[in-house]
Amino acid sequence: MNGADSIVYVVDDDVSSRQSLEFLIRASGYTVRAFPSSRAFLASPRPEMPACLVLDVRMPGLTGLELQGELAKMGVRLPIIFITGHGDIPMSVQAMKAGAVEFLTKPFREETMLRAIALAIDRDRVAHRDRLEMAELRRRHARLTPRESEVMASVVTGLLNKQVAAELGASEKTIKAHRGKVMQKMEAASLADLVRMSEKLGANA
Amino acid sequence: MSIPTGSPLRRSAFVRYAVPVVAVAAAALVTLALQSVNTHVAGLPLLFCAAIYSAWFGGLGPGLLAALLSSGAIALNLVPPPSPGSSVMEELPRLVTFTIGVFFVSWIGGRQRQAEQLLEQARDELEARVRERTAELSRANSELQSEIAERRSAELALQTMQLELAHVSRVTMMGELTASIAHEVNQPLGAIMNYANACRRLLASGMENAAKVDEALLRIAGDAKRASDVIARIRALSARKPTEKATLQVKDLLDEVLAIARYEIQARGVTVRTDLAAGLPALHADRVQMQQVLLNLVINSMEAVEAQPAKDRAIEISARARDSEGGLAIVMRVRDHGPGVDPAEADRLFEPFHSTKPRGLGMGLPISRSIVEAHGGRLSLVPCEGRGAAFEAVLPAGEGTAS
Repeated sequence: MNGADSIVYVVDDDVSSRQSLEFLIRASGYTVRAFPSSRAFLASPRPEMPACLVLDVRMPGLTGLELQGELAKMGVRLPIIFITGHGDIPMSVQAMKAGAVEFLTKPFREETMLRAIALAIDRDRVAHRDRLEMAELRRRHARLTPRESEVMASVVTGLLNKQVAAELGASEKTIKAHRGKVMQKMEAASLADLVRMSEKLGANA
Repeated sequence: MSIPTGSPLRRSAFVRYAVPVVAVAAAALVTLALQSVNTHVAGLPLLFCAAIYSAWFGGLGPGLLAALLSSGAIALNLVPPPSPGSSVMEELPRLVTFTIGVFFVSWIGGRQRQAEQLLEQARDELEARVRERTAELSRANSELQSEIAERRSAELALQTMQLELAHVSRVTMMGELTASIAHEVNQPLGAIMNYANACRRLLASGMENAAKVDEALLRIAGDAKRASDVIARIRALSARKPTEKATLQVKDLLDEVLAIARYEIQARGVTVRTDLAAGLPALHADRVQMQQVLLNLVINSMEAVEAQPAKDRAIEISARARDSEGGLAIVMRVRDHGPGVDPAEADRLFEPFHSTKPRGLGMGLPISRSIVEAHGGRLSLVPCEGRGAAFEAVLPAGEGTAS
């Protein structure tokens, strides 16, 4: 199956519901980790791999919707599939607006659930690649000296070496050397590549 | 008044007048018989006895008849005169004395008879009065009996009515909890469905998954049990049945009540904190009725706090043992952090049909109180620190403690 490199988190306070979901999703080939509360989920470390969250809406303590808000605040963009005992329309609207993949009312068809999980994992697979790339870019960017960082920031705006030199109050030759270091450390094939990297870093800074 | 009745023998005139004849005749015969043996035997004493007996037995008439017969007998020489050869004239004083004696005896006899009659009359009257009083008493007794029976049946009717009322109130309460009940049944049903679907997937992918399928089946059985337990609890709560006391642990009662109301409590974002003292004695009470009381208090508290800001949306349930004048008691307290009870409303809180809720029947608290009181306890609003309301049910402890 397709789930070996991914993980499905289940957060549900009801023991029957939680255990059976865990069993069903595991029987479909996914790795599953289940938690009885939002707090327990937040407290546990999450490995970087394609993942999604199957989340009960109503729980004591932090509710499902509150956990969704909490994760958004933390910048964690984990695709969420909500499950609820009753079709609660305003609640589902709120959840979907906040980016939920699916809002399922119990009892749901298992195909619907598994399809939603597959969709969510696929969606996160793309995001996962982005996250990996971002992490790599950050790692590379972190190797730059402060000066090199300044040079990169100026270069990607389209300035020529001479103009950068003027701006930073250094010789054109020095700037050229810095620029070479930047291209090397950032592992950029071309200026266009560096610009794209810079945009990514900027957008996710 | 009825005529006093003597012995029938005395009443008959024939007998009364027959007695002197027989007696005088007998005296004359005995005297003659004795004189034939011994000529010195006097005739008069026996005749005198006969006359006196007749006077005593029959009164003046028979007495005089006996005297006359005796005199006749002597005069006709049927009986030898006391002094042989004396004439009747010579015997006159003796006869007069004899007659006076008869008069005297018959007067005494008359008096005696009169006294006897009076006595008899008094006895008869007494008997009649006793009979009357007895009849009166038995009438009063039967009236009392029927009154007792009436009161007993009225009490029974009241009890039945209270049970009915408690039942109606319970069913109404269950109505408020339908979402909760549906949820509690749906959770295990949903789980069963998940396991069944998982099993189909496992079976489709080969038989090497037998152990997993077996595990799923075991869990299906467990969840089916959970669903049926929920339904059994609901059925017990909605059943109409007579009071049935058993030994109950407060913790079990509370767990069952919270299990039924859990979803409603959560849906309102209400937190429940429980604090049960260790080694709490058991209760000797009707399980369903106790659940009803607790459930009612919990629902009231939950509704009291649902409009509060999140930090105040809490209810606290505690149970303690306390020594009271009637022995060990269990104090169960349900406290909320809602707006509290207006002091002006406090007195009316336990009145029937008085409700502060828009959809309330106003039966919950009065019925809860009557249930607690029927168990020999008290249910009241008690003062509490800070905002909110606290209700306390004090119930006598039964035997045995919580394990």
